[in-house]
Amino acid sequence: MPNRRHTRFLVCWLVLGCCLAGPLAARAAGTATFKAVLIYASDEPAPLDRRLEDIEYKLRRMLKFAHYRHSGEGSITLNLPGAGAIPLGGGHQVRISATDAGGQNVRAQVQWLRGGQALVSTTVKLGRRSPAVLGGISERNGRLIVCLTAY
Amino acid sequence: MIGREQDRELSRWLDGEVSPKQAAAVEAYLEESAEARRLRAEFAEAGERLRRLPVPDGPAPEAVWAKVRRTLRLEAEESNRRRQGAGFLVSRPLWAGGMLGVLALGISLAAVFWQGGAGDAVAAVPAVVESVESDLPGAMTMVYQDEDTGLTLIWVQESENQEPVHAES
Repeated sequence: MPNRRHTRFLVCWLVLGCCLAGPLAARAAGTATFKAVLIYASDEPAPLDRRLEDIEYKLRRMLKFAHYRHSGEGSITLNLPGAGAIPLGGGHQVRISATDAGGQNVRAQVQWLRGGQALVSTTVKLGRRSPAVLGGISERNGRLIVCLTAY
Repeated sequence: MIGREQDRELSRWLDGEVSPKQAAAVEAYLEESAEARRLRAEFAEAGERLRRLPVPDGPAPEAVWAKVRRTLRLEAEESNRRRQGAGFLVSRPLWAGGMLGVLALGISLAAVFWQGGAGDAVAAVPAVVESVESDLPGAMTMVYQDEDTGLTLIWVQESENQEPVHAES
């Protein structure tokens, strides 16, 4: 009879296998996850935010603003082809209609909406983990930015 | 009348189990006692009868004992074999589970490096903008790709604010 140690060992392996099989199956099924982060860029002092640590230093190199404040974020996983919306708060949302673009790329029709108004409409071919930055919308003394990344 | 002690001494003498001194005493006693001689004759006759009795067929006790020990040894070996077999059967699912886990881990890591991780390591391909427009009145759009950061910027320049977009660099 298997003792308790053996059983625990077996269960650990099976759990590990199941945990890894899920993401693998999702990838194999032709899905893409989109993450959108709404950022308020201005010269108004803002505390450092760990949620922006991957993008803020890049934005600082490219844009003139001194401070970047996290204003909302969301993500969505789409079966390709597929469409969906990411609400970002403050009346902002990003609508995405995506198709597989071959390789590791997705082609996305992206609409950044505030209320019913399309602030930016773009068609962009995104590499996985290679963000596109949509921005320039005036807000108080700064600009609003949406950082969109496909995974 | 022969007492119990003499009877026992006589029996031991007949079996050759007495010392020479005791043997001499028994022999002296036999010479002087007719009853002792009669008893010796009875013992001798009984012994002769016993020797004439047929030996029962069958294996000798040593052979029986050897067979018992052999049977016990074989059963012990069989038991060990069964236990070892059971151990293998128990460990087989463990190995199978372990192998599946390792396989899943390997495939997943390969998938991660192939699809995502490798993208990071090999410099992500910048986004390619195919079209841009804005519903904001009078707004201009522009696209800028920054090689240093790998970012693709899709910028809307609203008409009332002509601030420069890019950093001084």
